[in-house]
Amino acid sequence: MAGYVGFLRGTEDAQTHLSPAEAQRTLERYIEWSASLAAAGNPVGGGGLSRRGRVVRGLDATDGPFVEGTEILGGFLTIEATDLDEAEKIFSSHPHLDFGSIEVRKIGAQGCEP
Amino acid sequence: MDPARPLAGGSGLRPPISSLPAGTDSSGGSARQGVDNSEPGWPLAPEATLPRGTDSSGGSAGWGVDNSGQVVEQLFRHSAGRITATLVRVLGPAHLDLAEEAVQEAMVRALQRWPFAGVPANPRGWLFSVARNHVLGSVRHGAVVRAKLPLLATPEVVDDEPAGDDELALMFLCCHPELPLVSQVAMTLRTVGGLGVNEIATALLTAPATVAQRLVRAKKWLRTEAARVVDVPRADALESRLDAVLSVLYLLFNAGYDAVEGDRLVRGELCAEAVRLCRLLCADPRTDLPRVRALLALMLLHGSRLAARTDDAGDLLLLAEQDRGRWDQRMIAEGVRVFGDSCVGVAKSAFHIEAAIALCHVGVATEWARIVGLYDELLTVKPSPVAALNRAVAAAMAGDLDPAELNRLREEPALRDYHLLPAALGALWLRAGEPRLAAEYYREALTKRCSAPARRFLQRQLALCL
Repeated sequence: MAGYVGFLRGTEDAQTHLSPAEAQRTLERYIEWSASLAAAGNPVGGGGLSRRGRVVRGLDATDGPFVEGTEILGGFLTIEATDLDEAEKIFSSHPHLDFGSIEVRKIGAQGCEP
Repeated sequence: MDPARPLAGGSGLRPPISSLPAGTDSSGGSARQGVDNSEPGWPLAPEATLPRGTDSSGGSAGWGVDNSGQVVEQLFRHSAGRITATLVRVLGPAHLDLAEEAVQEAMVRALQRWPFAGVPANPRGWLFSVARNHVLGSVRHGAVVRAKLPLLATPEVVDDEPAGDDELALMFLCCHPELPLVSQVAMTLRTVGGLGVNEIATALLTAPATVAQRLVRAKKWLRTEAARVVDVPRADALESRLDAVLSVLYLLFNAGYDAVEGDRLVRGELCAEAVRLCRLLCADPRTDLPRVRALLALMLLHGSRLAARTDDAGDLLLLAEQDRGRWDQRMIAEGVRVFGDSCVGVAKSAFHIEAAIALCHVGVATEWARIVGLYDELLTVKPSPVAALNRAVAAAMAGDLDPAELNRLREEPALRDYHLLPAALGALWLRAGEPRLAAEYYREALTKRCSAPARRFLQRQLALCL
């Protein structure tokens, strides 16, 4: 098993039109996804990210966001999987996919693996 | 097998606080195992957002939401209404838009943070802080906000105490008599109840664009009436304004009882919200009136059967298929008690009659003839096509199928987009041994807007006809 991280991307306004009722359901689905994975023995880690940040290049720093225009990186989740295919399969059920994309990467145990 | 399906039992603007045709099923024991040790299936007070689903019986009691995510249960809906209410009190009704925008912002931030970073210890306080900061940071409303800033910064506003008064005030504001009734309903559902435009449209049997337009106009009216004080109206104005509030709570309950959108038919949280707001009214001596109690009883009695209405996959169950052991006996007991408390004085409201109908449905066997009688009474007090439809169905269940009346109902404009009308006709014809005719009606029902589980149900019934 290896660690995999999923970067959750979406447009900044993807969730701004949700009613409280819809937001409630969305939040519950997000939390349930992690809870059910944890219940199956695969505890989910992760963290939120601030909306803005800086990119450091040499001596200069520029303000983010870092991907194309309106897209933001909302947070990341870490899971365990045997390989990238399985990790992709696990993340493919995440409710965030209703709002944006998830980029899945292996957390390299020995530096940067391909 | 009983082909009848849950049918609308409501009267008035919107369908179904449903009367479930009970068939002849009288088998199930009525007491839930371990009920004495279990938590009630819904929040008893605004603060009781946490413990749902902790009942020892193992069944998902009450509102049919599963157990994970308990920490945030109902949080957005409760908090959205309460924070909006508090901000509107401080900022004035003209700034309802800003208050809503601030609450929206807080929810989006929570959605972006909580799934990864965990839910904060005081989630409602967290939401309030973000919403308040958004208001304070608002450039557009700068001058107003700066003037109100001392108020917003006071600890009692930030405090996580029940904001019942603010919510009552906001409810009465939304139900202001100068707004058209349908707009009052839409505003309350949106602002206090936390429903989206599509959900409101469904609840009101109207188009989403119409609802959106009504909301825009209502808010515009609020802006022009900026000087008006947001408060619960004085006693002499209370009577006339209370009925609008009650209609709205009734609709909110219905929106949850037979949610038409999404995968989860039983949106227990909406029902719980309606009950919570009705409890606010019952808790205030100014609004604790018999018909308010009758409405609460009505919601409790129907709510008691919520969890049993769907199977584990979220599919609708016919009453004959339901496990009566999953009916929430505590809610029934409370509903019966509250109904008793509502029977004081001389005035008998439509809610009293509907609560009496609800009471018939939680009995061991359903006395259809008696229900027909109650619908007759209801139709004289508060005529509506949906009540007429329910009467016709109850009459059919009592052995008195009246095709002419049902055909007349098909001419009702208000029922044109109502999937339960053809569904009822399908059920009745199937029951009458006319599967081909029934199939046509089920096909027609499938062309109307309804929830995914309701759709699966209709397809299942259609398959029985073929």
